[in-house]
Amino acid sequence: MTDPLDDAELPELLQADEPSEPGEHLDLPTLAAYLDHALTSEEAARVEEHLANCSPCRALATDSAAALAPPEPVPLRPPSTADSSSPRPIRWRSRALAAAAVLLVCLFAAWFLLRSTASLDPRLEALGVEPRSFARAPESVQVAVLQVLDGSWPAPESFAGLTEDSSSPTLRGGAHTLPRPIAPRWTRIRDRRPTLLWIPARSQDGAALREEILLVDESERLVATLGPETASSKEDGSLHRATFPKDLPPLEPGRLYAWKINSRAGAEQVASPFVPFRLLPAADAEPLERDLARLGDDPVLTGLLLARHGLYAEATSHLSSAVVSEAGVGIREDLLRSCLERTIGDPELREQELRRLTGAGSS
Amino acid sequence: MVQWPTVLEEQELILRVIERQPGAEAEFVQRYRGLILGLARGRLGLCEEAAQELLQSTFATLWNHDHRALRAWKHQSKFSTYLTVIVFHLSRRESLRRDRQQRLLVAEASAEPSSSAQKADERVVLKERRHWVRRVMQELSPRDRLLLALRYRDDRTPGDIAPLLGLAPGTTRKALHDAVARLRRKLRAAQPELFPAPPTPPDEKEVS
Repeated sequence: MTDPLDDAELPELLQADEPSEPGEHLDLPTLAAYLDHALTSEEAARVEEHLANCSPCRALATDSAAALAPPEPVPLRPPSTADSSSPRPIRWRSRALAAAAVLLVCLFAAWFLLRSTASLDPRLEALGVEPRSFARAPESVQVAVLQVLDGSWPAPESFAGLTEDSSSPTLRGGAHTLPRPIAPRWTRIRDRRPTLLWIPARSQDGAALREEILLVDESERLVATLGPETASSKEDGSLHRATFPKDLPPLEPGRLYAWKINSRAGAEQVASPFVPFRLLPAADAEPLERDLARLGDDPVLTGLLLARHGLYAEATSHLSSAVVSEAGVGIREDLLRSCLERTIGDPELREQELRRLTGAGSS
Repeated sequence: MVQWPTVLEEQELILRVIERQPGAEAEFVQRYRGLILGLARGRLGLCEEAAQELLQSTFATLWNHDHRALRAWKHQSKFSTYLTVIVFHLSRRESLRRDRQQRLLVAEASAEPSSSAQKADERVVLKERRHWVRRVMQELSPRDRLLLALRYRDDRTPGDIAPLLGLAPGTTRKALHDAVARLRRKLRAAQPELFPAPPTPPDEKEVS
């Protein structure tokens, strides 16, 4: 027996529920903000209240949402009837393959560690790491050190498929140099209220430029405008810095953000390209904190561990302190350069930043 | 080429259009022409002539009354979202206007068939049931009411509803199922005679 209040009857019963004249319709900017999920929960509930009772607005909202929705992903493989009829052998085979792969990786790692540690001490000393510190370090750091000593480095993180494009049309006015974001860029960070560091734009005639930092999230929504009125902004030698304001909610772990600098002088404006960074996901933060606590204050090992987690900006500051603290540490400078290569694509800017970090350019 | 983020560049461009800076309007048209024509031809399935008309009326709406529609844009949404809503709004307004003209032409010719065939008591029961549905609907959450309206008044599928609510289709189906269950429960609690519970299925052993 079917339910007397079934799907076939509900349309008929609900038709008469619509008010004949809903009064004012939703304004289009509010509807657009609802479709972008940019309203607060109270505002969204008000919009849904209206949509539930207003057929024209509902039709407009549904059609617009459908047009804005990303296209359906194309399945990589068409569903096969053979798969569904005999799932067990295939699942068993894939599990066996996975187990074999894990075993192979473990064997390779063991061989790699044994081979590398045999003649490790002199190479560790060259890196400025005490063998005892190395022995106490977490396995992930040991692997990182061995990889660096062997000349390999973890694959760079993909920032939602973005690539650095220095040819973006960001210059209007022409009489100024571009502002250049220095940090954080193309890196993960831990600080939920980060400090942003950049090389300011310079005007040819020495006129003062008004700077504005725009920080957006991955949905292209403005998160903060840092400027003299909302940020503690100050000069740091040739660099400018601004700290994320305390009165705004902190950035969210795991999310992608981007920032740029707008510099204006009268009607003229120069702007940097947007540079992205990602907050360290919460799931990665806990093991990292644990490993860092076990490491102590060895700057090279700390830098390497941070780099292994994609925290290149933070790793850079630790490695640079190791380079500055002692003379004759070419290998550490190489490490520092490797970190910078992952965040700054422009070789000229990278060398400039390297000189600043190591103090080589101050003379 | 970095395609993201664009919102702040959109804000700057729109500001320049509103300030009537030289070249800004042409840059704006160049930038959004493709989006509007794409929606008109693709999503709305318009012919080339109608698509061009929609393009013109969209820009006219944005420019009119000292760029009132441009000024009204809330930076909470992407501009492309706002523009999409405007395009669908204008298209809908135009089709309503055509429908109205059409109805005026055929109104006299096609009179509604008399409903005398329907029995009076059935009509009374249906009216009563509708009254209670309307009343109980007010006790549901706005989200539930919206889900029920989209599914049963507008005949939208869960796949159509999902993008509007920002949910996965599976989650939408579950939310819809729950909303219907809540409506049924409330109706049966309020008016068990009008909305009786389904009869329990007979025991299979007895049937066999």
